[in-house]
Amino acid sequence: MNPQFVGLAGILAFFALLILRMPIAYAMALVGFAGFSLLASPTAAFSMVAKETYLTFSSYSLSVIAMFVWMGFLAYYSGIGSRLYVLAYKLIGHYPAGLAIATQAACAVFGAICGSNTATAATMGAIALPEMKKYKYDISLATASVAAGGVLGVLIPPSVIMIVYGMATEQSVGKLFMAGIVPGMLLMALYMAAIFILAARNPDLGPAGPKAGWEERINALRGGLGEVLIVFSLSIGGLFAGWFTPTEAGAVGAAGVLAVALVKKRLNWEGFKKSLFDATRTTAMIMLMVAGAVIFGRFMAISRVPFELANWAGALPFPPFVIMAVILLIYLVLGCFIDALALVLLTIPIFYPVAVTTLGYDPIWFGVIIVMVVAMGVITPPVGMNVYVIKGVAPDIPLETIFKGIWPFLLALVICLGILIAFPQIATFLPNILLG
Amino acid sequence: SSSTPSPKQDKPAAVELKLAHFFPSTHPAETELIQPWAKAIEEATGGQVKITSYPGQTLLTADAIYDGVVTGIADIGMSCFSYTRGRFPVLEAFELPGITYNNSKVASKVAWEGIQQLNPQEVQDTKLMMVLTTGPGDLFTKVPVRSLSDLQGLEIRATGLSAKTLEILGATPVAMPQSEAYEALSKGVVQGNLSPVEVLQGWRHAEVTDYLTRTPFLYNTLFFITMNLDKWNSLTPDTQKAIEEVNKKYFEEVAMGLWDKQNESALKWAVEETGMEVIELPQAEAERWISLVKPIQDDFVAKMNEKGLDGQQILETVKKLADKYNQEYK
Amino acid sequence: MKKFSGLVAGLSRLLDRIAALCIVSVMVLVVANILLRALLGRPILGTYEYVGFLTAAMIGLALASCALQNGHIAVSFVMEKLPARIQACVDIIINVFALCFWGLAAWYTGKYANGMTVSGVVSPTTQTPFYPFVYLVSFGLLALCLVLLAGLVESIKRAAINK
Ligand code: NA
Ligand code: NA
Repeated sequence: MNPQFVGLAGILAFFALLILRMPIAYAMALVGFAGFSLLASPTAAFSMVAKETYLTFSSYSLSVIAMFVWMGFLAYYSGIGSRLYVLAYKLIGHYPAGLAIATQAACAVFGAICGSNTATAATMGAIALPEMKKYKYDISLATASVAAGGVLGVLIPPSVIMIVYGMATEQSVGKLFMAGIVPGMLLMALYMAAIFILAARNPDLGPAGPKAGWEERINALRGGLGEVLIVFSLSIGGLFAGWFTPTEAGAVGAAGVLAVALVKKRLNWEGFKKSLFDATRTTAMIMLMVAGAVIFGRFMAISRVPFELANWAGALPFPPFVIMAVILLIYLVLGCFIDALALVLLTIPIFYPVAVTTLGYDPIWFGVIIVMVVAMGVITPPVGMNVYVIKGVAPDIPLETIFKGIWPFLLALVICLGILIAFPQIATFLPNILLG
Repeated sequence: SSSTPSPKQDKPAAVELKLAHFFPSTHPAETELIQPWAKAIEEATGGQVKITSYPGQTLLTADAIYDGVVTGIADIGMSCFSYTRGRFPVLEAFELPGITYNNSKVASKVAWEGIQQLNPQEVQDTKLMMVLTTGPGDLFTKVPVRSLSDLQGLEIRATGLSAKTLEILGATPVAMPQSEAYEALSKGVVQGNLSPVEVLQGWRHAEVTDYLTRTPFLYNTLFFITMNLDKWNSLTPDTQKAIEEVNKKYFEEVAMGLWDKQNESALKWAVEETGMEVIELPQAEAERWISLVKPIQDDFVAKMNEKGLDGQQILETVKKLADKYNQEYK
Repeated sequence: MKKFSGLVAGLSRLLDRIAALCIVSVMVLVVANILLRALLGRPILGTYEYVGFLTAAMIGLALASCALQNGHIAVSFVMEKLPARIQACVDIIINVFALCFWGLAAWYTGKYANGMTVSGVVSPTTQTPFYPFVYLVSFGLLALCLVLLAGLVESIKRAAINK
């Protein structure tokens, strides 16, 4: 049987199972297994499923997801997140959708501690969603803005995806990290602009509150900022002072929030237990999906579909920038149904030589572009990991409601990508100045 | 072929083999070894054996590669024995500290010949095609290490056997994956790394460290290229012979010196581009280090004896070969 | 049958409790390691390996409880538009598929663990054996199967009611 045919049939089978309401993680693992069985052997396929499931679950670099997810729920149940949002509401709540705009800034700040898009979405989701709901924000805008905000987690350093890219291409992780800073800021600004425009056209999306007086604001500042500031400065400060690594920062964050909540007597035993069970549920959901994506990725590799695509694109008789556009398009399409991390692991060894060696593009710039493109995939249907994470954090909201709100943010991402392609210096000037 | 004609006189269908490894697709292990070697095999077998490489862990995760070959997920695999510690107890002899290897040529030759002589039980479940090594590793650090006293309490990234080695030397080993080391070095979570010099350029560690202390007696890592036994046995004797000849040629001409080439160019880059200072330990100082790590060798011997193997004899075999080839490849 | 689903729910919750304990242990371990490293220069050498083990155990043991709470996300807006009986029938088929698949996956994960026992694989630094944690993941997958089985019984009932 032709492997590429089996690969494409597998993608169709995956869609069929999705429509028939099979959980996404199961569908990815099952189709990945079935395809691998056909192309190798059933024994090899089962052995692959067992190994990859265990190795994904036990991955040290992914353990950070569990910690940050728990941190998010701790902040929620202890009311620390709520206090922060009271403050934000008092400061800019009188602008339409002000809280959604503030959430983007919060995602960017959080992205400076957390290197994972899923963990950023989960933590910020746990903190921000209940608050935006409380202030009667449109649920579609609220959920989508957090799902999209998670992308800032991998663009602003530290970033798991950039580490994986650096590992697969032998590029400097330090340069990649620096190259992500300005594009991350740019994307945040574009997100904010998108929300601003949406709310200007339809103020009901984020109803404006009464304008708070300065006394009220200062009171909210006293009540909300101190504790958050302690945790954040501890996390960011410790990261830069070299007390701990980005993977360790998750545990530090969770411990910090827990300590603050206990000292201030804001968390009772019930809340503590709830935060834990929400964290185990959400982490199990995310990690089974990552394992499914890895298994599906193994099937894609053995079907050689990505290899053939790379060969085909590399041999097109067009100028380099057209081929680059084709490559990015391929990534956008693959990103629709493969998770970001699995996609980078699977395709960078295949596409990188085409883009950098054959076409001569700057490897650091290509890294930033790839992070942006695969991160777009985490919010595009049908497989958008960040959207699922938000669904996991807020189970009562239908998936299609979240996806419906995604489009403006996707547009912002596309514009950001376009700017980066037109002006590559936005990504490359910082690492070039600082690291030569 | 003349000795084993196929039942119908026409050509049997070509065998297609999937090769899994973890090196990036731009790494010399792929571009200078795997690719040319696979092509040579295809030519030597008249197109009967076709090998397709899956680099960068696209088919199997690094620590699942050996077992993946046993179970047939991949037909051929290249990875490190030490990723699955305990699975290859005898082969740990080739990675013991306290044995000096001048370079990767020596270390590879010792490993490959030693494995032929010892023929350990643990690698009988696949067809071993080649074993190559990184050769010795050096200490690269943010502060100069000129003697043992400089090393006391210094936080050095290391895993596995190296962690034990550094502990015994008085350093503070910090275990973390190689993928985290750059960030950890850059922010100062750790002060150094014990690794082959290649890492300076390949993982860009020269950007975040300033000193390199040569320690050709502390570190070695073995890589295997191995094949699924059923797949190997399904090949005709002529095909097998042709492949063995290609293996021999590529081991001698490419594999055994592969890391030397990379180590040299990485060192040159680190010194010339990032201003790294190279520190050579005086002979007496090096002797002190070597005598300190001796208990690790004793541990190994004791562990082998527990398993009913002659630990001392295994260790002597390795040392003798190391002496022999250190003379040959300076 | 009520008894069976009650039993499954009880087991899932018990495993989830152990998973919660694992999450707390990871946090305590990592923070203790950072403090010992920064203040005393004596890090816990095995932290990075233990975190991997504990995280694997945590996720494995939480799978069933997550499934029990319908936490494994599915796309439902197409199926919701179909008549209840057809929905129930499709659910039966999907559940059977999932049950068979995860059942076999649990079995092969157990085999993988057994293989690790035989070959004696241990973690590189602390030389802790892997197999207990792989068995735990296998057990977690098995518990997931029990939840799927209870769900299957539920779908069959629904198909029968909507006749
Ligand atoms: Na980040
Ligand atoms: Na997507």
